[in-house]
Amino acid sequence: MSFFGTLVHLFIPHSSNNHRAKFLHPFFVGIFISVFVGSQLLASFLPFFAPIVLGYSSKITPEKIVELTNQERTKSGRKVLQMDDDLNRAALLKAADMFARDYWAHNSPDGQEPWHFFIEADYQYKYAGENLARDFTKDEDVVLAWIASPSHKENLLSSRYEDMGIAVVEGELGGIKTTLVVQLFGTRINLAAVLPRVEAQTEKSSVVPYLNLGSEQVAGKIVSISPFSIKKSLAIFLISVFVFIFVLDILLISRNNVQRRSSRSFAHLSFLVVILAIVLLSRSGVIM
Amino acid sequence: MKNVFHDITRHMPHYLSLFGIVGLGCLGLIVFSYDQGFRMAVTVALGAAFVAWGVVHHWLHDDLHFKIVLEYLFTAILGVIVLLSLI
Repeated sequence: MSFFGTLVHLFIPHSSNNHRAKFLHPFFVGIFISVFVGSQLLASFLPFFAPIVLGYSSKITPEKIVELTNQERTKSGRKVLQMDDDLNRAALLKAADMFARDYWAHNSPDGQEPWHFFIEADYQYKYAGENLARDFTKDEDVVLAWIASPSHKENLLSSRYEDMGIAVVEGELGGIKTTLVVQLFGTRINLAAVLPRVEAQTEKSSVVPYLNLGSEQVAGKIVSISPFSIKKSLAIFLISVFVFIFVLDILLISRNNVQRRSSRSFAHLSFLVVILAIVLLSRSGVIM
Repeated sequence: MKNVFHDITRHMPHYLSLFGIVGLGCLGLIVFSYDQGFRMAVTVALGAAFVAWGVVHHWLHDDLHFKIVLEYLFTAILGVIVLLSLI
């Protein structure tokens, strides 16, 4: 079979492939699925073969997270939260602990609760809350994701809280370079005794709770690639190929008026177009 | 294209239910974008519903065949695997 004949056989409905492109046969779809899964696994081993660091580069700043949080609170008619240095320190301790012990959860692997860090940072709380985020690239996306989740939104807009602490920390989690955002909320147990201290702290809140725990070599010639971007590009390519083949199939079968016993190409196309739209709209970032 | 339009208009209730299935799947993924577990469940349910739609459609059309079920199944697996890789 010539090269052109092979292309026709693989992509176009023809008598050689029983009037259905060979790539649409279950066996070939199965091969594509295996190659996709294999390439995903291979991508995670990329740093071993090339000077590449898998990671998420972010432009998130603590100041912007505070600003956006207070904007949301103002929109909902809630009091603006004050930055508290003790809470900032508690957030930094929590983020550093997650990187040091390589976990991503409210409670540490040995069951330590987030409130432990409040106490460690000398913040005696009456009410306390925690929002976490990772792998985001923009501040707006972090706050939007929290707002979309009822439990995180409740923390963000709760009128019980008076103080807020933020830490944006870069480091390596599960072998992937990422940025963790830890947002803590609280109200001190004895407000009257603490009031003068809070006023003093508002002046000191220029302390930027931002840390980079990543290695120095990252800033060198090593290229940083987002694992999410790799997966998204592969997904877009794969689904687009199938959308293209199904469009060809619908057009040619309809034009040649071929009668065949097979599944409905239009149904497959509708399903895959929706999958493609979801893939195109998906963004990196996880909240907890 | 005439054949395609003829098939769609002939099976309009079938295709409307298919659009309903994929529409509900999209809505579930958007509304519960914050819940990783729920998004995974919605994705798997979307794939399963697509296969079920194919089986019911061809059964009503009286041309259900094992190879046809496999075609729907593999397209569903493809879509589900792709979405799960991004969740």
